[in-house]
Amino acid sequence: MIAAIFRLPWFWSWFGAVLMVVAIIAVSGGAAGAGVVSAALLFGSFFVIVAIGQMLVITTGPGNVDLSIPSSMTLVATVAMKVMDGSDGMILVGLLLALVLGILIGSANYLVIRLLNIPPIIATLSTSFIYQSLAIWYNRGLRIKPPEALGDFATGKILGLPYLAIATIMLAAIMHVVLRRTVYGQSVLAIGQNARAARLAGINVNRVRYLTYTLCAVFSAICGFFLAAFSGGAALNMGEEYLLASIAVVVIGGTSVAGGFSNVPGLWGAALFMFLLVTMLNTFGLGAGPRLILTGLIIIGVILAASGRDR
Amino acid sequence: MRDIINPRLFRTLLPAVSLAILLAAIFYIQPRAMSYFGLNLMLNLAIPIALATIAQMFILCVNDLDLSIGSYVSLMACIAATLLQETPLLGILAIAGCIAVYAALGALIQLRNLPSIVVTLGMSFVWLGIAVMLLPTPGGEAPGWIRSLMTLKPAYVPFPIIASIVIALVVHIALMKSSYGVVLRGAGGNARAVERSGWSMVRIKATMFALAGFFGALSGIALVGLTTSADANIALRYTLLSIAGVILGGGEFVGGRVSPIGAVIGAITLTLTGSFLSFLRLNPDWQIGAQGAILIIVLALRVLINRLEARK
Amino acid sequence: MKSLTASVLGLGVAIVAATTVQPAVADTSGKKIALSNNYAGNSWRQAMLNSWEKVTGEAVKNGVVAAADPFTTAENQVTEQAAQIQNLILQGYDAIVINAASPEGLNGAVKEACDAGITVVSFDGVVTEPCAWRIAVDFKKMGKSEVEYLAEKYPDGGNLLEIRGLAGVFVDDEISAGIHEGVAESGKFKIVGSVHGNWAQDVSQKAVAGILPSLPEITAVVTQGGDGYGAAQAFKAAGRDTPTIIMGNRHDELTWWKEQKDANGYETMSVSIAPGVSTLAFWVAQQILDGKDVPKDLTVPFLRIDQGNLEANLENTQAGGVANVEYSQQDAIKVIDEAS
Repeated sequence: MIAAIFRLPWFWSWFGAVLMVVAIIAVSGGAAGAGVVSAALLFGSFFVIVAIGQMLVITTGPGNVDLSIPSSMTLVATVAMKVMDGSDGMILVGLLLALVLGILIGSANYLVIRLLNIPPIIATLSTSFIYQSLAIWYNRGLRIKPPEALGDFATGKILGLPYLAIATIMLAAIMHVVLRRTVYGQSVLAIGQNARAARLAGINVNRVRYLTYTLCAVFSAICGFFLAAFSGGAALNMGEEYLLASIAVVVIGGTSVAGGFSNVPGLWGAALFMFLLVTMLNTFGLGAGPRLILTGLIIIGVILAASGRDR
Repeated sequence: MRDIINPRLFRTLLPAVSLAILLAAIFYIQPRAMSYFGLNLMLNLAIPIALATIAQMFILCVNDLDLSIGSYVSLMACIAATLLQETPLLGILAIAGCIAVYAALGALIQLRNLPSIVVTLGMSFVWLGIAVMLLPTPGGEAPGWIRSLMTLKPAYVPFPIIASIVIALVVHIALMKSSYGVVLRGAGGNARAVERSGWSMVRIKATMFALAGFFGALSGIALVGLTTSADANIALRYTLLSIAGVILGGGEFVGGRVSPIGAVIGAITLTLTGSFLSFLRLNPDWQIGAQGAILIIVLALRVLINRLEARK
Repeated sequence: MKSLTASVLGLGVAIVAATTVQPAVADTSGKKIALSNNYAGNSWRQAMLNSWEKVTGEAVKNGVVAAADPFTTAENQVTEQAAQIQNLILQGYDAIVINAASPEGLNGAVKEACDAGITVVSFDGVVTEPCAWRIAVDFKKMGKSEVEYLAEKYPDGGNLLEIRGLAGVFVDDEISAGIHEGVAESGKFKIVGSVHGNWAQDVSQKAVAGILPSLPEITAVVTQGGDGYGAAQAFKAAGRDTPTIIMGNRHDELTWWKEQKDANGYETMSVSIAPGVSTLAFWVAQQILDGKDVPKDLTVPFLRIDQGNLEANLENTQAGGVANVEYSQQDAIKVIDEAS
């Protein structure tokens, strides 16, 4: 029974997250723990949103990874904030625009991957430079405040639970069902396990991969939109830390980098874990050097613990 | 026999063609570049990139990916500028220790069937952390012999060109021509077959990772010889550059299909791309985007030539 | 010190109001100057590039110099900038103005430039290579002035939260060293928490939100600029009293401060580096090319905003941009004369 729990792909990330909370409470008391968990839920939401997209991409097989997430976030947030220009009446327009831009970015990414036959890792790296340039050209790094109602939503809480976290939990639940129950979800998994077999089985591999890259860009767009709303405007460097974080969250969460296997609940565990890990090391008052080293060792420790049991 | 050699030959030829086109464009825009002095200036920073690309190539060859090579090279540069300069013996020991860690990582990844992306992602924090502790503020000084080696001005042919050719040929002969090299590469193509014929996959992976660690160390040392002092963040960019370099050079992510000569050419192409853009004097808004566009164009060129060839 | 800063500030504001450039000192009319910039990804850098464009554009039009082209690397990396500088050497510029990614890492490339007879002027992120000129900000003093201000405001001392910049970057170390020195000298403050905000508002907000629940009551937050608004948001979200947060020069920080000041008389101060220092570097390079004898080390005062001149500064700051000061040729000559 216990062995069975250990084997669950999402177990270790959640285990790590809980361990961090315990460590923080041990150092600074129970009241601190509640505050930290609430903050973790909020900031974890941003990780989870991009990680869902990255997970879908990674699931489609080795070599598939989207490096354009940070610059997509920046571009979409920059354009949306400027178009809304702080007016509450424009929120819907801004959100729609963000989604459309996400679709365009995803399509552009896949076009480069498919037509030019460039490995995704290089293709998305190249396009990310172009998106970054577009964002610079469009608004020169000026910060425009989000509409007030949108800002209130992004920072708002009910019973200590951030609205954004609730929305993201629902989004994660929907994506969980999509992966498990829909033709699209099953196709993604099948392609990741064996693209040739999937093609022979009648799956339109290109269409599924296109949808996957587009979904990933759309999720980046949503994340960028709400991150800018949350932090009071878009910044050119707002997406920077989401590049490595999105990959780390996906893999620590139990998704296989070899493709063909994904896991949504694990994303939440991993996102909370990543946030809490940094918080815990901050709470302990360590210098930057030891903090970085510990972060690295703990990531390796988690992946070691998680993968040692099965296979 | 000819059928086996030809495709491989062609794969090494393609990167060379794109390099030649890029060089021609540079000489056209900036004739001053077409000189001993010009080539030296444009290419000397390609040496550490080429070495890091070779390191990444060893990892890609066994179907893994190293996301830590940039911070590893940074650490090596920091060690070279501090320990290796002050107490050479301790410096050599430290570098050897890091290479041993690389070998251990390779073995661990194979033994526990771990995703190399995550392990190396974790290691990138570890290397960076050690580098920050070793050199909290940028500084240190490159040992004199490294400095004089990297600023060598041989007659007729600029040093970076000689160094690139030496690196490419040495690795090419060792990996592509020697019998153990064939086994190492085979591990990426068909691990099971290699294992069945009595080779230990753990040992092969450890060897490949150790080689990567060794060339990463060379890269850091070469880099510090050019910059004269180090910085914990000095080479973080090498992670993506080295991957791009291997791919530009005709390597692939799976199947042990790599080419050392191509990797060196890929690294040089990437370096020259920067020069090309700088000579174009673009509006600053677009300088970053143009870098992306050039990468796409160079790779698209490769696909185009590939397709034309297939049609024949 | 305070008066010096204030006077330079007043000067700067006057310059922004009337950007008149004296036409042509013929000696440098054929010279070409390049700007080597390592990063363009935040509003400070964008303001820096804007100032450069505005001031040097005018100078080129008036025939003071032949060209003043800005170059930015794709990624904020030493290796890219070193390559960029070597490319600029090849392009035959007479002077290269550098905002360096690292004070040491570019020395090899800078030496190459000097050997090729090129004048190298570094600013903000200065280089240590002796052949280059340096227009430095005293970052240490900047950090210390924050604590000095707080010591005056809180004679009884209290707990401080420190928000640092990017680990391993010398600016971060210098400012932090200044803060710690100030704390040690005053003897009444205690730094109870320290986080890295990477000079980005959202990263600071996240880091502060994470550590805040575990901290005792905070009297003040010492920062490095660009992170004050994020810290304020984090305190608000956690439902805690807003401490005295030292601000930077971004528009959102100043606006927030103004709102608080109007609402409840909130008091703080702001220290930062004006992005227009790029234009000072330009004029210094021009002066060197003109044959003027310029000392290798110049100091530029940091930009300080206090309760009294907040409104005036806010008015001069572009919405979403950063508070700025641009320099003229006369300013540069004055800075040089004062130093020599």
